[in-house]
Amino acid sequence: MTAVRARTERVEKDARKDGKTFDLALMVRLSAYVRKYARGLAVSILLLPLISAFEIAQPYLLKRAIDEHIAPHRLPGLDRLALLYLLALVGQYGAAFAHSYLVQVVGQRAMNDLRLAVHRHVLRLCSAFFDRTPIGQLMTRMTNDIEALTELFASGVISLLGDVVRLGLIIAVMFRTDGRLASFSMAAVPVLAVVAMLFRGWMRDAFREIRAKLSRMNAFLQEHLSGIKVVQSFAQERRVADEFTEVNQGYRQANARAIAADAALYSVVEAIASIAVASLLWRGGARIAAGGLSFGVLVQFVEYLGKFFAPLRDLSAKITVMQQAMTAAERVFGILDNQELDEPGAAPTTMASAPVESVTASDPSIAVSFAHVTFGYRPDKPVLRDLSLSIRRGETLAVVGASGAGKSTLIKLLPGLYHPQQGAISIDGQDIRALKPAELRRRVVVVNQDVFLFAGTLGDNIGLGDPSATPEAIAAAARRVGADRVIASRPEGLAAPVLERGANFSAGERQLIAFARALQRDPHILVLDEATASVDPEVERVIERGIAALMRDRTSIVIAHRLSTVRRADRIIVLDHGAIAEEGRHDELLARDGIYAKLYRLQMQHGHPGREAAE
Amino acid sequence: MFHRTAAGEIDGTIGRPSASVDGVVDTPAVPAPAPRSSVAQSIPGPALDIGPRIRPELGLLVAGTLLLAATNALGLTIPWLLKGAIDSLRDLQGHPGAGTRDVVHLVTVTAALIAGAAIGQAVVRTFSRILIFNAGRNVEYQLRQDLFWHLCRMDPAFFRRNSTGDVMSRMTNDLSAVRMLFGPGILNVVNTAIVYVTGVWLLVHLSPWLTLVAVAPYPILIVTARLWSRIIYGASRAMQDQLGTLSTALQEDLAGIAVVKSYALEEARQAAFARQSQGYLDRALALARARGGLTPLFALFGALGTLIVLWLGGRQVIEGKMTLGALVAFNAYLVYLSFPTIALGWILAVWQRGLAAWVRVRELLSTAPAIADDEGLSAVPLGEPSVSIRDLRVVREGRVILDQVSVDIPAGGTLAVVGPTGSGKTTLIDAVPRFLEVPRGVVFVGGRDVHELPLGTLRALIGYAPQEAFLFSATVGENVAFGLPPGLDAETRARRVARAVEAAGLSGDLAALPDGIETLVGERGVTLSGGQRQRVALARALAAEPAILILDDSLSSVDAQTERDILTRLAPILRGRTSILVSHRVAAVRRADLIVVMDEGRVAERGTHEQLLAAGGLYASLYREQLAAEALGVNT
Repeated sequence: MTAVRARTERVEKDARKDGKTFDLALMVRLSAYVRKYARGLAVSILLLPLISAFEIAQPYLLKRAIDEHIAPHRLPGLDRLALLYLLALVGQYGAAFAHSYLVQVVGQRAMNDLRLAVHRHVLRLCSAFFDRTPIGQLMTRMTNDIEALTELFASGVISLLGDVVRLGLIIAVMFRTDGRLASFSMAAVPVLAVVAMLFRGWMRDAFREIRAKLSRMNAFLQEHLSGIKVVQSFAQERRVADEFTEVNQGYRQANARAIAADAALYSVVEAIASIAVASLLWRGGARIAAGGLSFGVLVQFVEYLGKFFAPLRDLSAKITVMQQAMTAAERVFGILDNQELDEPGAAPTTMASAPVESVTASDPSIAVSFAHVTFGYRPDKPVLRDLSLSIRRGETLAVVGASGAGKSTLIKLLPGLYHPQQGAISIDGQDIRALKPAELRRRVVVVNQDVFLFAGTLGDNIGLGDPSATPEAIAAAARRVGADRVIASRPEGLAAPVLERGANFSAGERQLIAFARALQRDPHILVLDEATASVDPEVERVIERGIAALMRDRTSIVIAHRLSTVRRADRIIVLDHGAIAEEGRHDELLARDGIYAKLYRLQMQHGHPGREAAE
Repeated sequence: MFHRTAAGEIDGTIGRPSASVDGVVDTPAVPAPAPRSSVAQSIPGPALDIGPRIRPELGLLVAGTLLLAATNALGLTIPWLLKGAIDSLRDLQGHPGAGTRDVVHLVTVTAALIAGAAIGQAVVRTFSRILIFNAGRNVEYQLRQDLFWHLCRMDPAFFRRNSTGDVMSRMTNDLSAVRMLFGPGILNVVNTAIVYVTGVWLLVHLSPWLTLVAVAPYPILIVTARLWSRIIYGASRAMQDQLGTLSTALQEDLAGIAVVKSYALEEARQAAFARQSQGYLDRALALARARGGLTPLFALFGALGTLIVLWLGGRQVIEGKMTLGALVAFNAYLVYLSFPTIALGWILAVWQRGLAAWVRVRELLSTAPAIADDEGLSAVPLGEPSVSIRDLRVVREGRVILDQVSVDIPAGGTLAVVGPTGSGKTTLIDAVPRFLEVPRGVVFVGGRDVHELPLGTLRALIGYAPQEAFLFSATVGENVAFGLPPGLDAETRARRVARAVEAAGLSGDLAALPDGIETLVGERGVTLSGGQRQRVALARALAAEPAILILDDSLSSVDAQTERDILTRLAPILRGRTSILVSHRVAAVRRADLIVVMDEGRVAERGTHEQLLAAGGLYASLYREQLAAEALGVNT
């Protein structure tokens, strides 16, 4: 049990951070999004006094009806007053609907703009940001938090404003009608204020507890549902269910406390309201008896008092919404403020310590050049050390080496996903830092080990929204790399559905699709990170042919895991701890009697020339 | 005319079912996507009807209802008391001087009584709310318990069909809606019923004719309300569905950010997202229109009552057919009725949502786990832990995954399964702990058909280290100890964990971690490398000290050298156990007693390492190639 408590408490602590109810700086930033719709907002705000005016007119009309017509039994004119009352009613509710709808329109549109702005910004952030930020967290910021902000408009600030206006008007009218009685009626206000303050603290604690327990519960659920197979394979269902009971209980208890607090608050406010009426009756009655007050005025005041208390009931709920919105705003703006952009200028690198080799600047036959590149994901732990490399146009370079030697890192630098701390990388003589990321990535296409497919159709995944990717072009590209068999294997062909992350395709099929995708782009420079070799010789041959087709007449860098690839390459480099250990053509390396030669001898020992020799 | 607080029990903001209605706001963890269909076979499992759900809470509900009735009763006395005071005052107004002192005295007493009633009402109301809302929360609690337990026992196919996001949404959003139904929903329905019954009776008592006129619009209101709330429900569902679509699109953009960047797809994805977002905006506004109109509609109807009373009732008073005090009281009671009327629209929305959610929850609960124990099964004594598979055939979505596969592993023997991706290796070994439903007479463990063994017993026998290593958010030690049986003392636990860690080759890595074995690993073990995660999962399987060990390519992310070391260390452990190793690295499985080479769901070759090499087929060529690649330092 302690294990569960310990780890879920860490989640709780995070959720307990309580925001202020009203943060001016955040409100100002939010208002920037609303500014575009200022007109709509202005109209809706202007409607507020109108609504209140209509509302307040009603008790006034009632008073007149009673004093001037009903009490003295005078019929003429009653009809007119009734009509006015009807108009006041329609006016009030019509305006109320218009107001609330306008506020919603402004709110939803403004938050839509915010949502798009955040999305746009997030896509611009650098790879390092995505490495350390869990998707779940980003998702919450971009969906739930923005929802909380929308709620702010729907039932928060604006209606609070309306309430303030209404209260003000009521008080004004009451004082104009009868100052003494009005002062007496207002005696309830300080009492309410004190009560509200007391309860407010109690309720805020209760809500905070609920948020914490809810986070804890959701984290537990998320984890254990994702890992349900592990739970089942170790037959730990009972234990996990018991752990869940504890978490579930905690949530229920937190809610019980909030229910009690809320019930008490609600009831006390109602009681105070009734007592206020009672006092009014007592005082007003005495004055009527003394002849100093009209009956109708008393009735009117009782009515106003009712309208006065109505908005106060909702206050608690509205303040909660405000608080949540402030917290959400803080988190959302946190993302927008993140300046770790995916642009060369933004990366915290030092300028090239050595100029690009003069040979590349003037040699048009060099396609890619790494000049004294040093890089590490953490600046103090370099993965590549002072690496220099040139690749000629149309050349196929194979990179081999032990895991951790820096192969994947090398190819991540080329499309500018990361930037070297020292040194420079250039393509066609141009430093890649001088190129915009979009342009750079049109010239360099990377095919990864781990193929990511978008949910959609097979055709979409190969064409990727490129207008020049007609079905014929896609089919042609697929044929050239051998991916046509994948299309053929599905009854829907190119329209075959692709499930989340391509789960309905085997690893081999995903590889072929990735090849087709890359070929369709027809890139200047191809970078291929070969997946682990599969055993099935037939699929293996298809993939090999596909790779050959991809690399034909194209400058390519391939992290080789297949002997066939390595043999077919124009040049091979062997990386060791971030530096080039051996380099050369297949024959040169053999002659050098190094690692490569060892392999050759192994083959001879076994006496089976193998597939490669037979080709 | 008189303050509306004497009226019904509407809590929170009126007409906004999504906000804090019982004063508590739940932040949905995941937006609710459209519910997917699931295999619904009804079984008598957890209580599926509303009746049995409510029964345990009946005490709370009845008590709460009684208190609610009392609240209303007290609430109703206030207008009645007011009526008396008003009448006296009005008489006074007409004839000042005579009996003034008595009237003032009466009014004072009335005021005091009203105050008393208010206080009493506050107390009773507090308790009624506490009781009824807690009843709702209790129902929610129990439902969540039942749901979780149910989910724990669902088969892997279910979790393939229903994403974690979907399921989470049901457990948060849907349960919330159901709770609203059982708590505030019931509260308000009961309250409305009480109020209407008593209110109408009182009104009729005062003036039957006026009552008739005043309540005439109500039937129209009910019909309109029903139509309107159906529209709201439709709009609400549409919005929720679109929110689900939006979230899915967003999730993809984030998960595939590497592809988005590499292929410079930012603009395209932005445009797509903008379209989805606009769709959401449109639906949200449609909902706002629908919802926004409901409250004013109801409020208007309620206020119309007052107008009618004022106009027609006023005439009645003028014509001397009714006293002013009666009119005032009539209006007060009408106002009292208006609150529940306003709430009616909201209640209908809550009921609609709650029932829809309830249907979805019930659907989930009634889905029988495809893999479950037979009736009346009990633990049976087992022989030696041998594993036997006879003619296993698995077809999924029309594709043949396994075709007539047979293997026999004697107790203590080691079986190795090799083959390309998609050849059915994982499916084959999933059959042994019954993560896959198999017919009877096909899979035997310890000499018994797996159908004869309770799932708990079967799986406790087996230690399973999967390819995709899932770790919980806990320390490394806690993760390794996950499979240990409860009731072990701390020392034994520590010892077994240490042994497993050693065997899995983790000691060096742990020494390099900041807190060693107490280091916290995040969701899915994020701070560890792929190879380290796999080794923790391996240690987890080993710590359980199972009779049967299944390693599904569980060293694929570890480099060849380390793998060799671990396998050497594992050799003595494997000797005492029946083991099944799946690997695509042939060198790893060299020592197995029997090697089976899978190809497209069939056993292509079988034999020992030496036999297979001599045969010179698939296995042989594979072995040579991998060995060569390894020498080059190339990963396979």
